[in-house]
Amino acid sequence: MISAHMVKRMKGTQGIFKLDVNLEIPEGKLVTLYGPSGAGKTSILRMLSGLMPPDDGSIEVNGTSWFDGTSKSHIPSRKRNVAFVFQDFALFPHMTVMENICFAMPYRDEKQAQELLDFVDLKELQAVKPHLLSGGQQQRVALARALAQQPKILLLDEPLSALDFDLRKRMQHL
Amino acid sequence: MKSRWVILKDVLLPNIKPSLWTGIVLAFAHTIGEFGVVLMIGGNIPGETRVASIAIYDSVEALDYDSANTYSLILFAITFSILLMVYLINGGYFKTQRT
Repeated sequence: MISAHMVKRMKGTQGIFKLDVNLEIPEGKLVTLYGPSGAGKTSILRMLSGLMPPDDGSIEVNGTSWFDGTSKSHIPSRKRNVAFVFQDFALFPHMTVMENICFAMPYRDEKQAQELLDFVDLKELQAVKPHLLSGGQQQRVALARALAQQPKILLLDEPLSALDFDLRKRMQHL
Repeated sequence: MKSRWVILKDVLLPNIKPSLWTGIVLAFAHTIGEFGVVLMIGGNIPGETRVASIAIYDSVEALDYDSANTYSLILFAITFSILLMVYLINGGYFKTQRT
């Protein structure tokens, strides 16, 4: 159960505006955020993951506070066990596909990493570094890496934008 | 969940390796030409604390321009080749393309 109230002043095309969201997400639910470009969808995810502190409000997950605007407490993102698929994928450039996935795991488990690579159809490219992959391949690595972490919360920021229709459908079924 | 130390060791340091190398080598190349502090602390004892830059200074003071020129040329060659190596290595000149 995530309950969050986030307030953040942001710059948009029409000057400074205030992002003010109330979220109540029950456990095990899949929620989609949509809105025009620049509305703050990514910012909401960044605040939930702890990469960007809100100006005010509170974030509470399963009864523990992750952020509190009044007492200014803020749990850093590495302690939140949140997986994030970024719009620009943010793969580690110095690691191969396999290492990228293994690094995200709580305990290194190459067999499970192989299974994940199988899921996203990248078994043949596991020893390749990300800069040699296409955009869609990179995106699938990012997706597999997010799943490898076995997170409490999975945040996906346009996770299927670079994939063709067939792959997109298959990834949605994962 | 990764600790700060693991993130530093496995992500940050490998990715800033080129910058680290540049910084270290530039500092080293700069030190080769160091003059003031070396002269003040070490003095100018031949064979012990006399460094290239001080030898150049000495030769110029003694109006021995030939050896001063030679020393300068050697100093220049050393620092230039060090910098050249750094930029070649960082620029990936020696890297074999791996797939």
